[in-house]
Amino acid sequence: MIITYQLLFQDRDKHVRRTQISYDTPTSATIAALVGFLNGYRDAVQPLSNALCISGRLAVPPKRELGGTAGVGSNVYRSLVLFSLSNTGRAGHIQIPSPLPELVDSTGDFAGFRVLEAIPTIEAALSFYSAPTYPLVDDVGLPIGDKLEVGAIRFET
Amino acid sequence: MSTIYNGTVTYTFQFEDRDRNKRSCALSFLLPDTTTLANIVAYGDVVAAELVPLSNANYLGLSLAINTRESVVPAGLAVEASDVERKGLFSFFNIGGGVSSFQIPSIDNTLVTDETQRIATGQDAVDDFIAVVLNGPPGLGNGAGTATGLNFEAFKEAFKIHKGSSKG
Repeated sequence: MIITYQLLFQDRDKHVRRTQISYDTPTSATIAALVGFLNGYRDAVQPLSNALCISGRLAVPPKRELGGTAGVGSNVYRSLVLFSLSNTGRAGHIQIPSPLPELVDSTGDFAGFRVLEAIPTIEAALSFYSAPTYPLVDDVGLPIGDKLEVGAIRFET
Repeated sequence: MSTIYNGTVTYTFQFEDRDRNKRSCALSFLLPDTTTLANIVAYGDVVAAELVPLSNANYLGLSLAINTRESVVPAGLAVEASDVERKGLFSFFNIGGGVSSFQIPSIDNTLVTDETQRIATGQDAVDDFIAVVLNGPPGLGNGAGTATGLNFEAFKEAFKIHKGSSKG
């Protein structure tokens, strides 16, 4: 599998630029091994540069599914936003583009804006909030709580 | 200093609507560093199976990033002579007959042949980098390639370039 190994460099003026390289990497490689390969590449690159290597990243390029045209009425600028509270009180959210119309409350004061939590598909999706083996976390690694606080529809212009 | 795994893997799921507009949804999970690449990708497919039915946009696919951080925070700034807009451009022939290049930010000027823009081989740091491109880092077992999987055959040339930007 092609993996992209990226390194970020920062100079005296604190400007940053990235360098990256791709290697065909065995799928049996563990995360620990992948980081080891990244450090091996870093050890070769750093002596060439008098900027500071300040971070690294491993990325798998997009795996494309089959094409086709989305359904009538789809709109990625309308998103379903699921809010949750992390165990440390930090709020997090998941934003899903173009949610199905049947997931949204169509009656009452919040018609078109509130998400119906009882819908089975949302309940199934929420199950990965509390997956015991691989917990869902926010972008700095803090576990997201297993309770959905509120779901809403957000519109972007 | 070295790069270490910060404990999270971020999956980005991309969607496309009827008007061909694209948006993505990103989720991060705490995975142990013993997780293999095969399992990382497979788990992304499992999450996608739960996520995709919520949307009537077309699901285009997923990309993922293994997030890392520095083992030690740098104690100070880079040296005065550093400038990430001054780059070392290294070019390699790939098996498909094309040429692929890498840009090293803030290339050390002492590696550039005086009165020229050329970066010559025969210098330890240059030769070590060329070797890691052609042969791979220790333990990997193969050299670098293009994003479409074409391996690099041989080093072509290297020279200094300047590539500014509006952000400085």
